[in-house]
Amino acid sequence: MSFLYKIGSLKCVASLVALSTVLAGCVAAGPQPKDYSDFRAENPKSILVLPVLNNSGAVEAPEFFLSTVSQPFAQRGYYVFPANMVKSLLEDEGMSDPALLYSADTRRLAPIFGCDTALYLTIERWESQYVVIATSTNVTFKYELRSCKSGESLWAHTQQLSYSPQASSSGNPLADLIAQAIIAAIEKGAPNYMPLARQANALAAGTAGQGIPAGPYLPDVYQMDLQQFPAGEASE
Amino acid sequence: MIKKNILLLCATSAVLAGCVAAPRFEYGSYEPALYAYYKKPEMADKFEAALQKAIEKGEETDRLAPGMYAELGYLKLSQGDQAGAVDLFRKEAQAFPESEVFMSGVVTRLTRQESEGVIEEEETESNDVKVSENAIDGMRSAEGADV
Repeated sequence: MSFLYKIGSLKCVASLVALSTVLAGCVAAGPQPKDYSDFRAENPKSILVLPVLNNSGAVEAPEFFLSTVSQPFAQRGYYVFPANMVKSLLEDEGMSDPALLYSADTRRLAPIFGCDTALYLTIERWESQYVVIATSTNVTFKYELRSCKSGESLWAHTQQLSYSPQASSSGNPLADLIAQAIIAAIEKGAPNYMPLARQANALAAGTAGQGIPAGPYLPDVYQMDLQQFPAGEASE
Repeated sequence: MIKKNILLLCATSAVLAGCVAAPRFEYGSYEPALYAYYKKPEMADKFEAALQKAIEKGEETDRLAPGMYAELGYLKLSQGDQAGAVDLFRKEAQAFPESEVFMSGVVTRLTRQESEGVIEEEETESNDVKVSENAIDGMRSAEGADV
């Protein structure tokens, strides 16, 4: 029985670790902060979210990704174009293949949309492993903001995430274990990846030193976050 | 155990709240409703209700999210309500000047289609929006050249 208890406490440790990762991203950047010189110089105000390029085998992945990407980027203080309307219009115009769209010059989007930047989204990996007690899904997403004015890349980020849904604890470890197994089985059948996609997109957009600096719709922090999102090497 | 988890959750959300602050924009249930709409196009009315609610709440709290008017307008357009759509596209441009180019382009196309339709009724095509065809043709030919 103590083994089962251990699993329970392991879970707690795991969530603590997850929590501290979030904190680390929030308070002090873990990895080296990115160079935001180009981003700062361009000072974009709007983001055009493009349809997702899917390099993984998961057919349903782009829909989870696209429906959850607008919000976290907008919450950073930017105007984000209506993603579904943009996607539908591009499809109506015969531009339904993201691969074609992604190889075209970003500057050509400007006369149609009047965008400052376009957000290119690529799913590199989306794999689920079913291991009886928990299904874990490993994803790799790539984000790139390109200027609609110059076509140059202003920010790029790769977000990796391993996700396994957790059953809420009942206080009875055996029951928890069974609940966890049931959840894993449900995940295998009709998985809900909304939390996974949300988490990845929130981390990609909001992590200090890695995400995007605050935009004009956050007037309290706009252009005040030079320390978290530095513009190149500190000038001497 | 449950208590501990709840405490942990509270701590997490308090920390997150302190860090990200209250969300700037009101998205309501835009995300799950859009996903459901992708999966099942017959869920359009659910998506519409979600948009309407997000707009209502956003207007009340002065936290209207970008794109909500436009998404609702495009949904109305796909249901044949062109006047309603144009109205919403104009509202989007008014609330968010960043969308002016896009919204006025779509509105111009729609209203031109409409006036052309009055003159030569045979020619009117349902409610297709053609946004600056030349620009998109330009993108296509550019792809050909690039590859």
